Amino acid sequence: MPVDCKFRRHLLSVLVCLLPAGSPVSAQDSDADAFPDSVEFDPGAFDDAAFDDSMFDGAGLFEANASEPGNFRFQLSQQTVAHLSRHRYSTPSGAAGTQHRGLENNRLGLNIRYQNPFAAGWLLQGSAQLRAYLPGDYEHDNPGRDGWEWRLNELFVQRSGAKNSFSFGRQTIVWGETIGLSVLDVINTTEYRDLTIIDIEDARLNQWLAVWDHFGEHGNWSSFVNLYPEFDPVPVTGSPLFPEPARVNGQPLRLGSHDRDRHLFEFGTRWNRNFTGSDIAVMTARLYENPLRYTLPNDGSNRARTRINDYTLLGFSANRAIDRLLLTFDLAYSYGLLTDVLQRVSDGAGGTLWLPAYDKQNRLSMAAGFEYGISATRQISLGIQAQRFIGLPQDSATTQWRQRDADGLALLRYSHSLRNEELVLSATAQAALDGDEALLNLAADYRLSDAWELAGQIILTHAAHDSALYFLERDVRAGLTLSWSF
Amino acid sequence: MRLTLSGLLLVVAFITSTAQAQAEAQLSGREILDRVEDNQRAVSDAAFNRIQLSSCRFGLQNNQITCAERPRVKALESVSINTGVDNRDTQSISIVLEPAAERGIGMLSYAYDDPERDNETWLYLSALGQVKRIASGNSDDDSESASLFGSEFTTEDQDTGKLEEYDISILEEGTESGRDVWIIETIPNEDRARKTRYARTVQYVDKERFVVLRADMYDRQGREIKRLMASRIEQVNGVWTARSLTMMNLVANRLSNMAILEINSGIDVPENFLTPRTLTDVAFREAELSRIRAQVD
Repeated sequence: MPVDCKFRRHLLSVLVCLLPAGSPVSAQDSDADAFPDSVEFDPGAFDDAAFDDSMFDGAGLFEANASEPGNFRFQLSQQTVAHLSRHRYSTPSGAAGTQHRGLENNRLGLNIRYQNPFAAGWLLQGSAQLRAYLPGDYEHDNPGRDGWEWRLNELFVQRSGAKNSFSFGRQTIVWGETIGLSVLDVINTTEYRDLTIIDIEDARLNQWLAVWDHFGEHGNWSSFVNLYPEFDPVPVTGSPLFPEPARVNGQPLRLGSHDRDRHLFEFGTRWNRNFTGSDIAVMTARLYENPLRYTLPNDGSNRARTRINDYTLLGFSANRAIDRLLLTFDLAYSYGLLTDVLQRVSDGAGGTLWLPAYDKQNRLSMAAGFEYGISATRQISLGIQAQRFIGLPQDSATTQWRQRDADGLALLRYSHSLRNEELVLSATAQAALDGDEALLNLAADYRLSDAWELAGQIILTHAAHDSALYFLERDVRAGLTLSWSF
Repeated sequence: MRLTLSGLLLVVAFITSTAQAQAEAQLSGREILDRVEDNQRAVSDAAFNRIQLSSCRFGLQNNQITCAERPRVKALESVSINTGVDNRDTQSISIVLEPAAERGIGMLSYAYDDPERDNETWLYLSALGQVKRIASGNSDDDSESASLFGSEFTTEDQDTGKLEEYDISILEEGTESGRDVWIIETIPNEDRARKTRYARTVQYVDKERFVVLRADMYDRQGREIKRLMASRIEQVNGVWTARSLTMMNLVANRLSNMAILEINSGIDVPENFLTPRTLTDVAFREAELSRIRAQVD
């Protein structure tokens, strides 16, 4: 019973939020009175107007007595998100469920980032997050949290010389070119609990890695070893993306973590070459699938059995800049992935029955897209991802049960920066190519100052009744996040 | 007639300047812009600059162009070298120091003199976790090449070279900011027109200093869409250069001022510093930047 959220790698965000300017906590605010809003622009008078650039004097950013930037950066944030649409929906089994209105996220967060080039060629970098779950948050009553949670995101030390760089610690490796949809961006694990974080850039979790980069004149060779591969975290029961587990033996199915009974490791290497207007890369890796695979218990309990799977990845990526267009392409061949099938087993009474199971198969995946700078303030990108298992069993039961051998996703992102970068409106639309699931996220980020930012988002989802995400059908959510950086 | 030494020097200087003036009076538009670009290249060769980039919406008040809002100010450090045949290509990298939320964001640009080679730009965004190549060309009136850190300056505005892709002519001579100037029109040829937003540019070039004091950029409909104003013209290592450049976007009513607070040339820049690695390898970047800063501080 795979717990698979297909469109968790993405999000939509468009914001509609018009707020009064103010909240002066920035050094840049001190001279706000010198720049009145009352001036108008008259093109006819423009040629006769004088211009004096002394208005930009005095920022003092490079003065000798200006304070050195610190190594720490903090961001304190309060997020409130509510589900707005009460409605009924159908489950794949034909039952009906009700989605109620109410608060989903109500949490205070602290993000800490540390970056210290403490000696020539050395860097120590770390980041962590702390979350306090307030009443109304779906995590507030989670018995495993005690109302709060913290996580170490990054912690690595790096040594770089003229041609080589070594880093060791908790860090990220990003492969592939297509933004948000790369089929090669599979080294790090990801976690999606709710719809406020759907971009893979935000959902990516770091791993303990040793990385060696060798830099040549026109490219680099990068290799890594992961001596402690991790897996995507167990879904949080009661979260918007895992509202209710299936029931087995009269009880809710419990999903657990993987019990390590042997030493695991991953390794991989990537060769990248830069050309004028283009980059190409080829890569290979021995990896473990990031999602744990669950099967129903066979001991009468309600605890799902977990299974991990190692496989081989072969990949190719390329980009090409053609005038204003940047084309991206990723290709992955995964050898030995687990995939869902039905297996005929004995029913113990002389007959047979079909049960869900996993089979090892090979998969060909590709992602292609483009990025386009419409103007200095408007950007758009579009990507399409498609994948197909090769050599699936052709028995009619599996074919009918799986419904499809191939699937695909499309991801569209658009952003528009307004008012001197104070307001950024963005939209992210993601949809399964067969139309079974779709998500639209409209977001607005309003920067009140260099330190304060208010973000609003509206999230709309659609899911077919036979989709794995059927509970998101016709959902509407809205949220606000206020953050203070210092 | 007894000629004093100072008198002799005066006469020699007069003769020299007269001959030079006559020679310069006969320069073609292309030759003038070649010298302008030679000056730009001389200042950008092995250079380490500290830059303040300010952007705002602008308007007119008391017949004065002024910001209509608090400018957004960014502090950058920039390193550039000339390379390629006759050192006519320029590689440059700019790293944001302030504001803190954007610290570490970098942009790497290669500007090629050869019209057959498109310029290249890379950007590192920590949120993406990787270096992104940016498409720099564009072909319609509504598009622009990559913006320099959200300002009104684009990578195209920073470029040198590719003058053979333009028809260049001197429209007239005049004055600008109290200086004698050539007023030179550049019109891109068919190939270049597909890659530039500017269908026509009129540049006001200081006749003595070979510095562009003003540039008016027009779209295909003949509308002036941007205007560049240069000020604080100073000699840096014997080359006249503008230390304050203001790009006004007349469509968006926004301007950006690039104040080059420090210009340090003749810097020893490691060969591999101007590569995409510098955008993402912080340990390497900071080590090399420390060495570069130590040469100037």
